[in-house]
Amino acid sequence: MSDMIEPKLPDDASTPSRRAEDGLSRRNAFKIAGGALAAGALISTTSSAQTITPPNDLTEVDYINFVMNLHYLQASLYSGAIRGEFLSASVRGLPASTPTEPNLSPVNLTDPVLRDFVTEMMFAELAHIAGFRNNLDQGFLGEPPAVIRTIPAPAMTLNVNAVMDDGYSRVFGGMIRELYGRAFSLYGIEEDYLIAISYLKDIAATAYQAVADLQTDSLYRDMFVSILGTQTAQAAILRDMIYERAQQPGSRLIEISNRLAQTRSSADPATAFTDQGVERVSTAAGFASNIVPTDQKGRSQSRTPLQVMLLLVGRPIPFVSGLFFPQGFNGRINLAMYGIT
Amino acid sequence: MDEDLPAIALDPTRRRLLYGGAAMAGTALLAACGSGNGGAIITPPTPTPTPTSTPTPSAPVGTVEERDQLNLALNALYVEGQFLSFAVTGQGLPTAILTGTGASGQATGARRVTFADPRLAERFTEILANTIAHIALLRELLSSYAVAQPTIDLSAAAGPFGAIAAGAGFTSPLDPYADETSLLLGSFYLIDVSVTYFKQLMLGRGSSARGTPEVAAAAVSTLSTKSAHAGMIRLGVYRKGLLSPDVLNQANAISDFRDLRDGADSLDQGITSSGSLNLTPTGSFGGIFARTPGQLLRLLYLQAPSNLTISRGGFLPNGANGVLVET
Repeated sequence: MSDMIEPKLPDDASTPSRRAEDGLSRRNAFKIAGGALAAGALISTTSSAQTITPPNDLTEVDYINFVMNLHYLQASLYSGAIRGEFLSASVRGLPASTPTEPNLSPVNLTDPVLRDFVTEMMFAELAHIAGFRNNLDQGFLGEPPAVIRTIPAPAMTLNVNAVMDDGYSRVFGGMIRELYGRAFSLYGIEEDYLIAISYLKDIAATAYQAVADLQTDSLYRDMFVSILGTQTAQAAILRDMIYERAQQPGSRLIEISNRLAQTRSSADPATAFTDQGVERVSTAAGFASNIVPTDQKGRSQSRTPLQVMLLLVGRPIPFVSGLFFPQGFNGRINLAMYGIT
Repeated sequence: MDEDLPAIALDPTRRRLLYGGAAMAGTALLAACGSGNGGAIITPPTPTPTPTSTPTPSAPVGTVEERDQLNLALNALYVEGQFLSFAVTGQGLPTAILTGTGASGQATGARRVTFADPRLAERFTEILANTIAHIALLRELLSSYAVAQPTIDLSAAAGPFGAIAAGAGFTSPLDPYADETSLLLGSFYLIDVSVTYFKQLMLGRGSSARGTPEVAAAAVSTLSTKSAHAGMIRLGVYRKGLLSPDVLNQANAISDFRDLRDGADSLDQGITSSGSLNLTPTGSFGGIFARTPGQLLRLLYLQAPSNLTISRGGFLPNGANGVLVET
C-alpha cells in the first residue's frame, strides 16, 4: 500500500503545474553535499528561480498556512512513532470519513528521554495546528465563524514502507548506507529517526525565523514569535541529543550532522550563512559544542519559504518524488508561486 | 582539556566561537577575555581586516523606546554573561564590552565551576560564546546609547541564589558554583527569564509591530538563540534529574518561584508537568511565554511577592542601568 497520507483536497491555488518539459528545461545540476545523494540532485533549481519575487499580496493567513505544512508533517512523524498511527481526519482538516492511517512499521524508541520528548513535541505540534485553526477558522479578526481559512493536510511521505525515492531515502538513505553499510530505517532504528526529525526541525525553526519577522500585525506576530521560540528550543534539544549520542564509540553522528547541514545549505548557495552541523569546536577557553548554529555575531539563521520548499518538496518533475510532500505544499505559498513547477 | 574526542577541524570560513565578527575585530574583547591562566579566548587566525583599530561608532539604531528595551535586555545579558563567564573560565567578561552610560559597576560573587562531564562544559562554553556575541550585537545597535554594566551580585548563599533557594523552599542553600548540577539549576533560573523577555522584544511597539528592521532582526536572532540555550539547559537539568529526582523537584520549585514573583500571570512551567516531560514551556498554541520589562525586573531584583514598585535588589543591588529600571 502507499504510505502517503490521503491526497490533499482540491485547491486550485496550490496545485503545482506538472508540465514535465518545463521542469526539465529549467532543471540545473545542483551542488550536492557530500556525494550522499545518489540518483540525482535533491534540489534542482535555477538562479533565475531564486530571483523571482513572490506576490506582494500575501497575507498573514498565507504565512500561517505555509507553516501549517511543516506542522502537519512533523505531527505525523511524531504521532506515527508514538501512537502507531498518523493524524486523524479531523486534525488533518479532512472529511470525517477519511481513515487514519496506521504506521505499519515497527517503532523502537528505547531512549526514554527521546521517546518522552517526541511525545511532548507531538502535543506541541497538535497545539500549533489546533491554535491556528481555532483562530483562523472561527471568526478571527471579526469574521463570522465557519469561514475555513486553514489548509487541510497536504499529501505527505511518511516512509512507512521505506520507498526508495522519497525524501528520506534521498536525504538520508545513501549517506547511511555509505557510512554504516546498512539501510536507513526511519522507524526501526532510533538514531535514524532522530537524525530525520532533527533535520526537519532545523528547517522548521529557520522557516519560522523568516516568517515571524515578516509579521507586522501584533496579534499574528505574537503567534509566530511564540511558536518560533518553541521550534528553536526543540531544534536545540534534538541537536543536543545528537551531540550526546555522538560520543558513543563508532558513532558517525558528527559527520552525519555536518553532511545534513551541507544538504540544507544547498537550498541557498548564495547565502552568507552556511548551515552548521552539530560538532565540537576548539576555542582557547576550551572545547565548545556547536549545538546552536549562529554566525559570528550570535545571529541565528532564517530560511525563506522558497528555500524551505526546495528542501522539503524539491522540484516535482516526473519520476522525482517531491521528497516529503509529493504534491507540494498546500496553500498559496507553494513552488508554483515562484514559477517552479 | 580532555583530548579523547578529536575536535573537528575548523573550516576557516565558518564562524568562530568567542569572538565577534567584523564589529568586534580589533577591539580589546579577546585580549581582555584571555588575560589569565592560558585562557586567551581565541585569536582568530585571520581576523576580518579592519582599516583602523578603533571602529568609528555608528549612530544608535531604532526609536528611543526600542533602545530602552534593548538596554534592559543588555542589563539582563550582562548578568547572564558574567554568571556564565565566571562559571566557565573563572574570569569576568572582557571590560571592553561593559562600558556605556549610567553607573558602571563590578560583577562579584561568582567563581569557576569544576565540571565532571566535559561535554557539559562544552555546552556551557558554547552558551557563553553566544551570550558574549549577543552583548556585542546589542551594543553595536545601541552604540553610544548602550548602558554600562551595573553592579551585579552573583553570590551564592548570601546573595541572589540564596534568596532563590529560600523562596523556592530548598532545604539547603543553592550554590550554583559548587558543581555542575547546581550550575544547571542557577542557569535554569536566569536563562528562562531572559528568553521570555527576548520574546517580548519581538512583539508590538506602537504603530508598527515589527519596529525598526535592524532591531527586529537582532531581536529575532537573540530570541531564537536564547530559546535554544534554554532548551539545552532544561535538557541538562532533566538528565541530572533522571539520576536524582531531587534535582527535578528543585527545578520545578524554581519555576514556581519565578511564577510567583513575576506577578499575577502564569508565565512559567517546570521541566516536568503532571509527570510528563516538559522541556519547552508553552502556553497558547504551543508557543513560549513573554515577560514585560517589569516582570523581567521583578525576577532580576528578586522582588518579594508584592505590588510595590522597586528599582533595585537581587542580582542588581543598585538597579539596572537605563530608563526601564522600575518593576
